[in-house]
Order: sequence, then C-alpha cells, then structure tokens
Amino acid sequence: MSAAGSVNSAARAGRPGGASSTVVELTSKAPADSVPVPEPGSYRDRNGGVFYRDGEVYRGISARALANWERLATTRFFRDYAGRGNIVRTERVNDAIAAGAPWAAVLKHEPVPFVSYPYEWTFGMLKDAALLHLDLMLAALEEGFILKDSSAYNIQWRGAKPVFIDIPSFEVHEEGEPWVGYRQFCELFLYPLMLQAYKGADFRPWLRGSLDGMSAGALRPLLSTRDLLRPGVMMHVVAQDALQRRYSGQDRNVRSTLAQAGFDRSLIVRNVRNLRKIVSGMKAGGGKTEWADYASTHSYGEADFDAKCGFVREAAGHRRWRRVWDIGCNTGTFSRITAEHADHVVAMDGDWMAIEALYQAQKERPDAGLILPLVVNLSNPSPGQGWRGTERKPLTERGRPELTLCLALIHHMVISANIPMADFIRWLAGLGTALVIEFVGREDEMVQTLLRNKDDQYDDYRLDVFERLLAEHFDIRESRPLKGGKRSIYFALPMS
Amino acid sequence: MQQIGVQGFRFLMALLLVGISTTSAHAYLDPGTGSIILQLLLGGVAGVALAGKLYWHKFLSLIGAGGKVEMNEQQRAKGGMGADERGR
Repeated sequence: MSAAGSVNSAARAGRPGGASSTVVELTSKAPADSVPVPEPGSYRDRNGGVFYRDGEVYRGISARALANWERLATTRFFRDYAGRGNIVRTERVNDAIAAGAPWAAVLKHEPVPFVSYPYEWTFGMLKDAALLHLDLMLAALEEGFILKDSSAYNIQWRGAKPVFIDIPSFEVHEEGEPWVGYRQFCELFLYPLMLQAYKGADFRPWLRGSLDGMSAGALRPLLSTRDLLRPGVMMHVVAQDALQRRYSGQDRNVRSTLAQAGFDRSLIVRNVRNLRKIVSGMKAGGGKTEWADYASTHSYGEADFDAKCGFVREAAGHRRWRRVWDIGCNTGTFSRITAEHADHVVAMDGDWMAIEALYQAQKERPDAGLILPLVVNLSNPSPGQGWRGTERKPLTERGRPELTLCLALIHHMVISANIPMADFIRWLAGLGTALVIEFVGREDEMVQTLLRNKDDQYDDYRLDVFERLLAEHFDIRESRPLKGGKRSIYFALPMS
Repeated sequence: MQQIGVQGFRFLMALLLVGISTTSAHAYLDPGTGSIILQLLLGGVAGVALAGKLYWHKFLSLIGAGGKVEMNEQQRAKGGMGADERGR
C-alpha cells in the first residue's frame, strides 16, 4: 500500500517497560500541509518521536539513534526483512524537514493501512507476531544488533502479514549486555499466549485492560501444578516471578556484573531459540466458539447465498474503495468478494475463532495483504487508552471506511446487545461511509433463536422502521429480498 | 528436592548481586533485575558454566561439598562477600 493510498499511519510507541506504536488518522480534517502533527503515543523513548505531515509518516531521531540507523541500514538482515515487507520500509529524508525539532535526523516510514492492537488480534496473530519478533532478534544478533524492547505494539499488519514498525528498537548490541526486552517479551507475548494455550482463557480482555501486558506475578496464580510441567512455565514464569519478587527492591545494577563475568550474545541466542521452540509448539486451548464453522453452517440455502454474494459483488463493484470495513465479517466470505474492489479491507467480528479461521486461511491466499482480520465486538469497540487516553486510539479514529459491509449483524446489535436500531443506524451514518446492509426479519430462525429467552422489548425491530431509518440517513440505491423475504439487503450511499 | 532447587536459585542469585560495581544503564525500558539474572540460567550450558565459573566455591559450600575455609579464602580474595552471605 503506498503512502498516498493510505489514510492511516502507524509508527512507533514507547511504553514504560514497553515499546510503542502509534497512529493517527490523517483525514481531510488533518492539517493540510507542512505542519508536523506529533503522534501522541510516541513519547516513551527519548531517542525518537513520530510525527505526521502531508499524509506521510516521519520519525525524528536523536544522534544516538542516527548512529544506529546508519549501521542498521547496511546490514543484510535489515535489507532482507524490509524487502519481504516484514520490517516497515524506511528511508532517511532531507533533514530540513525537521527544522526546529530537537532531532539529529528524520526517517520516513511507509504507512500501514490500518493500525491495530494486540487486544484485537487472534491467538494465531499474536503467535506469528511473537515468532517474527524472535526471528528478528536472531537475525539481528547475528550481525551485532539487538531489539532493545519487545513490545507487541511494535508489530502491525499489512493484511495477514506482520510488519515490524519500530526502527529505533534496533540497536548495536554491546558485548556483555543482557536482552533488556526479555521481560517485556514475556509480558506482552509469551504470557498472553500461555494464558490461551495452557488455560484456554481469552488473552484479549487482559491485554486491553493492561497495556503493559501480563506480569509473571499475574500469570503464576492461574497455573495449576500440572501446568508447571508445560513448556516454558517453570523457568519463564515461576523462576522469573520468584526472582522478580526477590530482587524487586535491589538498587544495584546487575547488568555490569554480568558484563564483567563474560555474559555474551550466545546466551541470548540460546534463550531466544528456546522461546521460539516454546511459542512454535503452542496451540490455542478452549472449546469451539459459536461461529467457528460459519462458512459451512450459515442459515442460507445455496441459491440465496449466491444471490447475496452477487448483490455484494455488484455493490462493491461500483467503484474502487480505499478502505472497507466488514463488521460482523464472520469467516470473511464477503470480505474476500469486496477485496477485489478495495485497497484494504478491515474484517471485524466479535467471535475470535471465526476471525482465527479467516486469518489462517488468508495467510496462504494471494490476497493475504488485502484483508486485516480483527477481533472486535461492535457493541464495545476498542476505546482510547493509555496516557491522556490517546496513546491507543479508538477504533473509529484509526481510519474510517469508504464502504461498510454490515451483513446479518443488525439483529445482534439490536436484540443481543440491546442497542436501539435508530442509534445503530445513526452510528453507521456518522462514519460517512457507503453501506451494504442486511436486515434480518423477525421470522428468520436466527432472530427467533435470539429472542427465545428474552422479553421481546424490540418494538423498533421491524422492516418498515428499518427502511425508514435507513432512508433518513442514507441514499438507498439498490435493495432486494433474500431467503423468501425473511431478510433484505440494501446498498446505500451516505447523504452528501 | 524442590527446596534445594529453590535455595540453589536464591543462593546463586544473591551471589551475583554481591560486591558489584554500578554503571549507568542506557535503556528506557527497565529490564528487571530478576529477569536479567534469569537470563544467565536461560543461556543453557554456557550460562550455567558461567555461573559455575564465577561462584564455584560458594556453590560447593551450598551442597556441602566444599570446605568452609576454602570458601572464606575465596571471599577474602574477592573482597566483597558480606558476613550475611556466609551464613547461608
């Protein structure tokens, strides 16, 4: 995705005991030109700071970071990974652009299409991000570099492909220095993965609630005696927890002791390889979720399903869309249809297993770079978080869609989540997006299922009310009934 | 057995922190003292060998295979072991 073709930009973040990532939405409301807009999430590491200007992503860097960059740019691994798209493409630009800023130099990054956070990823995504991080560590160490931090927020996605974005994290490794980011790797990658793999528990609420991740002390009490025998638990969790408790009050610098003793890089390599083996062997625990098998269990007959696909294909084919949201995407059937006419599709669903199925399938497909699968509950989307509430941005501030697919979702919003239909339609209209929306009528068995144990307080949930609300906020261009009239599908444009 | 293991851990770690000189750390991230020490043990044979090389005599003392006299000589030679460590 070219910088010009992207509305969103990601870069770095800096977290206390954490690294960083950053985002901004560069819409038409952003300053038109020449005024650098600092990234509010890029503040922790004083060696650099991200800013946006004219729709491009820049990073001012200190003299120390510049010295590292100049060496990094000559390394083989950096060229290889950047060439494959697993490190964000970066170049040094004319220093004049940073005039007035306290930086020694300025780098320019290729933006990522849509910024996402680890608490929106599936287990498989977090696992693949962890493996990329470890692979980068091994490759960097071979050429005398190391990643000085290990934040999961330093990895973003181009579709189903992970991209490392925090260039100043690469530093020359001084002989005798330990891996400073080891604890952070455990807290933001290893422990959340263990929580899901060993306990079958969802790691996302934990990461959403704790931006610095999960500490050893938080995971330890959740582990049973049997868990102690699982790969990595004894040393990386139990021993680390015990040592952290024992030495939390120490004021001495053990790093220098290690250096004097002859601690060398081979010990780090050994640890990283061990972590790689542990992470590679992990599988998500827990039972199947409701929609994991959607593609084979949806409620449509073949002809109706074809009609629905045809309607979506025709609607999407009206023009080229820069960004599409598919909300309630399930396993992504319609995301793929739409991706044929879009630069990038953000496919969201609250069911993590459906999203996992989509992610795993996308990795192998030729359109892997086009569809970003995210676990998002639309009735409670990710909020602004962190310092000033702007370090991690709300979903809607990371790049609004030009086209939104909202297929077989509205009954879940109105009946399951109790969101008034008028409010939901207004929210959609507020996105300023074109819309393909499906209304699921009361006669439909899926609605019947949702109502089976509830008081029917949903007087507004009627086709005529829906059509009136839709017409209030959108310009309806096409519609057709589906499933013998139990459902209807519409293509609508935003009011100009 | 587990108790021995835990004590071994604590002992080795305690020694690592005795008599060290301090230098300024230059990372914005706090690596955590306990996590740094653990990295020695996660370095496989080389890491354990390194620990052994440094603290062999103390280790022998812990498992009862080393003489106390030898221990104390080692401590004097290092010049930094505190009395509190001797009693462990």
